[in-house]
Amino acid sequence: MNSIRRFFNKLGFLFRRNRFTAELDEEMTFHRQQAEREFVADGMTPEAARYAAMRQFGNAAQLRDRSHSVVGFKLETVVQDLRFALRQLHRSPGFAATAIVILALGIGASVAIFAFVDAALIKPLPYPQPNRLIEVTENSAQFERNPLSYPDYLDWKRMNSVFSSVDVFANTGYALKTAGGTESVPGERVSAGFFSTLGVRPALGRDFRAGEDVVGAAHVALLS
Amino acid sequence: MARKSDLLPGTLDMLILKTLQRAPLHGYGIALQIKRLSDDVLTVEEGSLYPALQRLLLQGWVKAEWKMTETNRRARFYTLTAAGRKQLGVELTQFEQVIAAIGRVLSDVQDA
Repeated sequence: MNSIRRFFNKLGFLFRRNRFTAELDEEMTFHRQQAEREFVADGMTPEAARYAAMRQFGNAAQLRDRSHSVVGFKLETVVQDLRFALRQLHRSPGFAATAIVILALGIGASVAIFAFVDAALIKPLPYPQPNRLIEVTENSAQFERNPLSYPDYLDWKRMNSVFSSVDVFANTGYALKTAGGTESVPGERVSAGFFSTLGVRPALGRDFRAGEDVVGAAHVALLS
Repeated sequence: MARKSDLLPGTLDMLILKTLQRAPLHGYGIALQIKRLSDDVLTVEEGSLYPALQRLLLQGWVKAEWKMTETNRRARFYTLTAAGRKQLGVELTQFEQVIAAIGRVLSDVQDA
Protein backbone atom coordinates (compact mmCIF):
# COMPACT_ATOMS: atom_id res chain seq x y z
CA MET A 1 0.00 0.00 0.00
CA ASN A 2 2.76 2.36 1.03
CA SER A 3 4.94 1.45 -1.91
CA ILE A 4 2.07 2.05 -4.33
CA ARG A 5 1.51 5.52 -2.93
CA ARG A 6 5.24 6.22 -3.07
CA PHE A 7 5.26 5.12 -6.70
CA PHE A 8 2.43 7.44 -7.67
CA ASN A 9 3.92 10.31 -5.69
CA LYS A 10 7.18 9.72 -7.53
CA LEU A 11 5.33 9.66 -10.81
CA GLY A 12 3.77 12.99 -9.87
CA PHE A 13 7.19 14.44 -9.15
CA LEU A 14 8.44 13.18 -12.50
CA PHE A 15 5.84 15.23 -14.35
CA ARG A 16 6.42 18.30 -12.18
CA ARG A 17 10.19 18.05 -12.18
CA ASN A 18 10.80 21.67 -13.13
CA ARG A 19 8.41 22.94 -10.53
CA PHE A 20 9.95 20.63 -7.99
CA THR A 21 13.42 22.01 -8.70
CA ALA A 22 12.20 25.60 -8.60
CA GLU A 23 10.42 25.06 -5.27
CA LEU A 24 13.42 23.34 -3.75
CA ASP A 25 15.69 26.16 -4.90
CA GLU A 26 13.38 28.77 -3.45
CA GLU A 27 13.13 26.85 -0.23
CA MET A 28 16.87 26.47 0.14
CA THR A 29 17.50 30.11 -0.77
CA PHE A 30 15.03 31.10 1.91
CA HIS A 31 16.86 28.90 4.39
CA ARG A 32 20.22 30.45 3.48
CA GLN A 33 18.88 33.98 3.80
CA GLN A 34 17.31 33.24 7.18
CA ALA A 35 20.62 31.86 8.43
CA GLU A 36 22.33 34.96 7.05
CA ARG A 37 19.97 37.27 8.97
CA GLU A 38 20.62 35.39 12.14
CA PHE A 39 24.36 35.77 11.71
CA VAL A 40 23.87 39.49 11.16
CA ALA A 41 21.71 39.66 14.29
CA ASP A 42 24.57 37.98 16.15
CA GLY A 43 26.80 40.89 15.13
CA MET A 44 28.45 39.72 11.92
CA THR A 45 28.96 42.07 8.99
CA PRO A 46 26.50 41.31 6.16
CA GLU A 47 29.40 40.16 3.98
CA ALA A 48 30.74 37.72 6.55
CA ALA A 49 27.21 36.55 7.35
CA ARG A 50 26.58 35.72 3.71
CA TYR A 51 29.74 33.63 3.45
CA ALA A 52 29.07 31.93 6.76
CA ALA A 53 25.56 31.00 5.64
CA MET A 54 26.84 29.68 2.33
CA ARG A 55 29.55 27.71 4.12
CA GLN A 56 27.06 26.25 6.53
CA PHE A 57 24.72 25.36 3.73
CA GLY A 58 27.31 23.67 1.56
CA ASN A 59 27.16 22.91 -2.14
CA ALA A 60 23.66 23.84 -3.29
CA ALA A 61 23.84 21.73 -6.46
CA GLN A 62 24.89 18.70 -4.50
CA LEU A 63 22.09 19.23 -1.98
CA ARG A 64 19.57 19.54 -4.77
CA ASP A 65 20.84 16.28 -6.24
CA ARG A 66 20.37 14.57 -2.92
CA SER A 67 16.74 15.67 -2.76
CA HIS A 68 16.27 14.65 -6.39
CA SER A 69 17.62 11.21 -5.71
CA VAL A 70 14.97 10.80 -3.02
CA VAL A 71 12.09 11.51 -5.38
CA GLY A 72 13.63 10.48 -8.71
CA PHE A 73 13.57 7.23 -10.65
CA LYS A 74 17.34 7.18 -11.13
CA LEU A 75 16.89 7.96 -14.81
CA GLU A 76 20.48 9.15 -14.93
CA THR A 77 21.78 5.69 -14.12
CA VAL A 78 19.72 4.26 -16.96
CA VAL A 79 21.37 6.72 -19.33
CA GLN A 80 24.76 5.78 -17.91
CA ASP A 81 24.04 2.11 -18.48
CA LEU A 82 23.01 2.78 -22.07
CA ARG A 83 26.21 4.73 -22.69
CA PHE A 84 28.24 1.92 -21.21
CA ALA A 85 26.45 -0.62 -23.40
CA LEU A 86 27.14 1.45 -26.52
CA ARG A 87 30.83 1.76 -25.61
CA GLN A 88 31.09 -1.98 -25.10
CA LEU A 89 29.43 -2.66 -28.46
CA HIS A 90 31.80 -0.19 -30.10
CA ARG A 91 34.75 -2.08 -28.66
CA SER A 92 33.77 -5.35 -30.31
CA PRO A 93 32.15 -4.47 -33.66
CA GLY A 94 31.97 -8.11 -34.79
CA PHE A 95 29.90 -9.09 -31.81
CA ALA A 96 27.79 -5.95 -32.16
CA ALA A 97 27.10 -6.64 -35.83
CA THR A 98 26.14 -10.25 -35.11
CA ALA A 99 23.83 -9.21 -32.31
CA ILE A 100 22.20 -6.49 -34.41
CA VAL A 101 21.71 -8.81 -37.43
CA ILE A 102 20.19 -11.54 -35.28
CA LEU A 103 17.88 -9.06 -33.57
CA ALA A 104 16.90 -7.55 -36.93
CA LEU A 105 16.12 -10.97 -38.43
CA GLY A 106 14.21 -12.05 -35.35
CA ILE A 107 12.14 -8.89 -35.21
CA GLY A 108 11.59 -8.93 -38.99
CA ALA A 109 10.39 -12.54 -38.93
CA SER A 110 8.03 -11.84 -36.03
CA VAL A 111 6.59 -8.81 -37.79
CA ALA A 112 6.08 -10.75 -41.03
CA ILE A 113 4.36 -13.62 -39.25
CA PHE A 114 2.16 -11.28 -37.30
CA ALA A 115 1.28 -9.29 -40.42
CA PHE A 116 0.15 -12.53 -42.09
CA VAL A 117 -1.85 -13.73 -39.10
CA ASP A 118 -3.37 -10.29 -38.70
CA ALA A 119 -4.49 -10.08 -42.32
CA ALA A 120 -5.67 -13.71 -42.54
CA LEU A 121 -7.27 -14.29 -39.16
CA ILE A 122 -7.73 -11.12 -37.16
CA LYS A 123 -8.75 -8.40 -39.58
CA PRO A 124 -12.22 -8.78 -41.11
CA LEU A 125 -12.53 -9.08 -44.90
CA PRO A 126 -12.47 -5.68 -46.64
CA TYR A 127 -16.18 -5.79 -47.59
CA PRO A 128 -19.12 -3.83 -46.14
CA GLN A 129 -20.66 -6.70 -44.13
CA PRO A 130 -17.95 -9.35 -43.75
CA ASN A 131 -19.91 -11.17 -41.04
CA ARG A 132 -22.65 -11.95 -43.57
CA LEU A 133 -20.32 -13.40 -46.22
CA ILE A 134 -20.19 -17.18 -46.20
CA GLU A 135 -18.20 -19.45 -48.48
CA VAL A 136 -20.07 -22.65 -49.30
CA THR A 137 -18.36 -25.60 -50.95
CA GLU A 138 -19.08 -29.21 -51.73
CA ASN A 139 -16.89 -31.82 -50.18
CA SER A 140 -16.33 -35.50 -50.67
CA ALA A 141 -14.23 -38.23 -49.11
CA GLN A 142 -11.39 -37.51 -51.56
CA PHE A 143 -11.53 -33.70 -51.68
CA GLU A 144 -12.26 -31.33 -48.90
CA ARG A 145 -13.25 -28.71 -51.47
CA ASN A 146 -14.87 -30.45 -54.35
CA PRO A 147 -15.27 -28.29 -57.48
CA LEU A 148 -18.91 -27.32 -57.92
CA SER A 149 -20.56 -28.04 -61.24
CA TYR A 150 -22.38 -25.24 -63.07
CA PRO A 151 -25.80 -27.00 -63.04
CA ASP A 152 -25.39 -27.61 -59.32
CA TYR A 153 -24.74 -23.89 -58.86
CA LEU A 154 -27.92 -23.08 -60.76
CA ASP A 155 -29.84 -25.48 -58.51
CA TRP A 156 -28.34 -23.94 -55.37
CA LYS A 157 -29.24 -20.49 -56.58
CA ARG A 158 -32.79 -21.54 -57.42
CA MET A 159 -33.43 -23.42 -54.17
CA ASN A 160 -31.61 -20.95 -51.89
CA SER A 161 -33.79 -19.73 -49.04
CA VAL A 162 -31.03 -18.79 -46.58
CA PHE A 163 -28.79 -16.24 -48.31
CA SER A 164 -29.63 -12.88 -49.84
CA SER A 165 -27.77 -14.01 -52.95
CA VAL A 166 -25.58 -16.85 -54.17
CA ASP A 167 -22.75 -16.37 -56.63
CA VAL A 168 -19.79 -18.40 -57.81
CA PHE A 169 -16.17 -17.76 -58.69
CA ALA A 170 -13.37 -19.89 -60.09
CA ASN A 171 -9.69 -19.16 -60.22
CA THR A 172 -8.28 -19.07 -63.73
CA GLY A 173 -5.78 -17.34 -66.00
CA TYR A 174 -5.83 -15.77 -69.45
CA ALA A 175 -3.33 -15.16 -72.19
CA LEU A 176 -3.00 -11.43 -72.88
CA LYS A 177 -1.54 -10.29 -76.19
CA THR A 178 0.60 -7.19 -75.82
CA ALA A 179 3.07 -5.36 -78.05
CA GLY A 180 5.91 -7.20 -76.32
CA GLY A 181 4.35 -10.64 -76.83
CA THR A 182 1.78 -12.80 -75.09
CA GLU A 183 1.60 -12.65 -71.31
CA SER A 184 -0.22 -14.81 -68.85
CA VAL A 185 -2.48 -12.83 -66.49
CA PRO A 186 -4.29 -14.24 -63.48
CA GLY A 187 -8.07 -13.92 -63.56
CA GLU A 188 -11.28 -15.04 -61.95
CA ARG A 189 -14.39 -16.35 -63.67
CA VAL A 190 -17.38 -15.08 -61.77
CA SER A 191 -21.15 -15.09 -62.03
CA ALA A 192 -22.92 -11.81 -62.83
CA GLY A 193 -23.94 -10.97 -59.25
CA PHE A 194 -20.50 -11.65 -57.76
CA PHE A 195 -19.57 -8.04 -56.96
CA SER A 196 -22.98 -7.01 -55.67
CA THR A 197 -22.94 -10.09 -53.40
CA LEU A 198 -19.59 -8.96 -52.01
CA GLY A 199 -21.06 -5.46 -51.70
CA VAL A 200 -18.45 -3.67 -53.82
CA ARG A 201 -18.76 -1.51 -56.93
CA PRO A 202 -16.25 -0.91 -59.70
CA ALA A 203 -14.29 2.31 -59.35
CA LEU A 204 -14.85 3.08 -63.01
CA GLY A 205 -17.46 1.87 -65.52
CA ARG A 206 -20.25 -0.56 -64.63
CA ASP A 207 -20.76 -3.83 -62.83
CA PHE A 208 -21.83 -6.99 -64.72
CA ARG A 209 -25.51 -7.04 -65.61
CA ALA A 210 -27.80 -9.96 -64.86
CA GLY A 211 -27.88 -12.22 -67.88
CA GLU A 212 -24.37 -11.43 -69.01
CA ASP A 213 -23.12 -14.70 -67.54
CA VAL A 214 -25.34 -17.07 -69.51
CA VAL A 215 -24.01 -19.35 -72.21
CA GLY A 216 -23.89 -17.59 -75.56
CA ALA A 217 -23.87 -14.03 -74.21
CA ALA A 218 -21.08 -11.61 -75.23
CA HIS A 219 -17.85 -11.92 -73.23
CA VAL A 220 -17.39 -9.15 -70.70
CA ALA A 221 -14.46 -8.45 -68.41
CA LEU A 222 -13.71 -6.17 -65.47
CA LEU A 223 -10.12 -5.07 -64.93
CA SER A 224 -8.71 -4.87 -61.43
CA MET B 1 33.52 15.13 1.72
CA ALA B 2 31.89 13.19 4.52
CA ARG B 3 29.93 15.34 6.92
CA LYS B 4 29.81 14.31 10.51
CA SER B 5 26.23 13.73 11.57
CA ASP B 6 25.34 14.88 15.02
CA LEU B 7 22.20 12.78 15.03
CA LEU B 8 21.74 9.12 15.72
CA PRO B 9 21.02 7.39 12.42
CA GLY B 10 17.34 7.11 11.70
CA THR B 11 16.23 9.69 14.21
CA LEU B 12 16.00 12.69 11.88
CA ASP B 13 12.59 11.71 10.47
CA MET B 14 11.26 11.23 13.98
CA LEU B 15 12.61 14.58 15.14
CA ILE B 16 11.10 16.38 12.15
CA LEU B 17 7.70 14.74 12.68
CA LYS B 18 7.84 15.56 16.39
CA THR B 19 8.72 19.20 15.66
CA LEU B 20 5.82 19.51 13.26
CA GLN B 21 3.42 18.05 15.81
CA ARG B 22 3.16 21.39 17.54
CA ALA B 23 2.70 23.64 14.51
CA PRO B 24 3.42 23.80 10.78
CA LEU B 25 6.95 25.07 10.09
CA HIS B 26 9.22 25.79 7.15
CA GLY B 27 12.50 23.92 6.69
CA TYR B 28 14.56 26.59 8.36
CA GLY B 29 12.13 26.72 11.27
CA ILE B 30 12.41 22.97 11.76
CA ALA B 31 16.20 23.11 11.89
CA LEU B 32 16.06 26.06 14.28
CA GLN B 33 13.50 24.41 16.53
CA ILE B 34 15.50 21.18 16.83
CA LYS B 35 18.64 23.18 17.59
CA ARG B 36 16.92 25.30 20.24
CA LEU B 37 15.01 22.52 21.95
CA SER B 38 18.16 20.44 22.18
CA ASP B 39 20.14 23.37 23.61
CA ASP B 40 22.36 23.45 20.54
CA VAL B 41 23.39 19.82 20.99
CA LEU B 42 21.60 18.61 17.85
CA THR B 43 22.19 20.47 14.62
CA VAL B 44 20.31 19.42 11.54
CA GLU B 45 22.34 19.96 8.42
CA GLU B 46 20.55 21.37 5.43
CA GLY B 47 22.05 18.55 3.38
CA SER B 48 20.10 16.02 5.42
CA LEU B 49 17.03 18.12 6.18
CA TYR B 50 15.71 18.72 2.66
CA PRO B 51 16.15 15.16 1.38
CA ALA B 52 14.47 13.98 4.58
CA LEU B 53 11.54 16.34 4.00
CA GLN B 54 11.16 15.04 0.44
CA ARG B 55 11.16 11.52 1.81
CA LEU B 56 8.42 12.39 4.31
CA LEU B 57 6.41 14.08 1.56
CA LEU B 58 6.68 10.98 -0.61
CA GLN B 59 5.48 8.80 2.24
CA GLY B 60 2.55 11.16 2.73
CA TRP B 61 3.52 11.80 6.36
CA VAL B 62 3.75 15.56 5.85
CA LYS B 63 2.24 17.92 3.33
CA ALA B 64 3.76 21.12 2.03
CA GLU B 65 2.16 24.48 1.37
CA TRP B 66 3.57 27.84 0.32
CA LYS B 67 2.61 30.50 2.83
CA MET B 68 3.79 33.89 4.06
CA THR B 69 6.00 34.12 7.12
CA GLU B 70 5.51 36.74 9.82
CA THR B 71 8.22 38.75 8.08
CA ASN B 72 6.12 38.57 4.90
CA ARG B 73 8.32 36.23 2.94
CA ARG B 74 7.19 33.24 0.90
CA ALA B 75 8.19 29.94 2.49
CA ARG B 76 7.16 26.34 2.20
CA PHE B 77 5.47 25.23 5.39
CA TYR B 78 5.25 21.56 6.28
CA THR B 79 2.24 20.18 8.12
CA LEU B 80 1.92 16.82 9.84
CA THR B 81 -0.73 14.57 8.25
CA ALA B 82 -2.81 11.94 10.04
CA ALA B 83 -0.56 9.24 8.61
CA GLY B 84 2.45 11.22 9.85
CA ARG B 85 1.00 11.39 13.35
CA LYS B 86 0.60 7.62 13.34
CA GLN B 87 4.13 7.16 12.02
CA LEU B 88 5.48 9.41 14.77
CA GLY B 89 3.82 7.13 17.34
CA VAL B 90 5.42 4.07 15.72
CA GLU B 91 8.85 5.66 15.62
CA LEU B 92 8.65 6.91 19.21
CA THR B 93 7.74 3.44 20.43
CA GLN B 94 10.59 1.88 18.50
CA PHE B 95 13.00 4.52 19.72
CA GLU B 96 12.01 4.04 23.33
CA GLN B 97 12.45 0.30 22.97
CA VAL B 98 15.94 0.77 21.57
CA ILE B 99 16.91 3.27 24.27
CA ALA B 100 15.53 1.01 26.98
CA ALA B 101 17.47 -1.93 25.52
CA ILE B 102 20.68 0.09 25.37
CA GLY B 103 20.06 1.22 28.94
CA ARG B 104 19.70 -2.35 30.13
CA VAL B 105 22.96 -3.38 28.45
CA LEU B 106 24.83 -0.43 29.91
CA SER B 107 23.51 -0.90 33.44
CA ASP B 108 24.51 -4.55 33.32
CA VAL B 109 28.11 -3.53 32.59
CA GLN B 110 28.04 -1.12 35.53
CA ASP B 111 26.77 -3.73 37.96
CA ALA B 112 29.46 -6.21 37.06
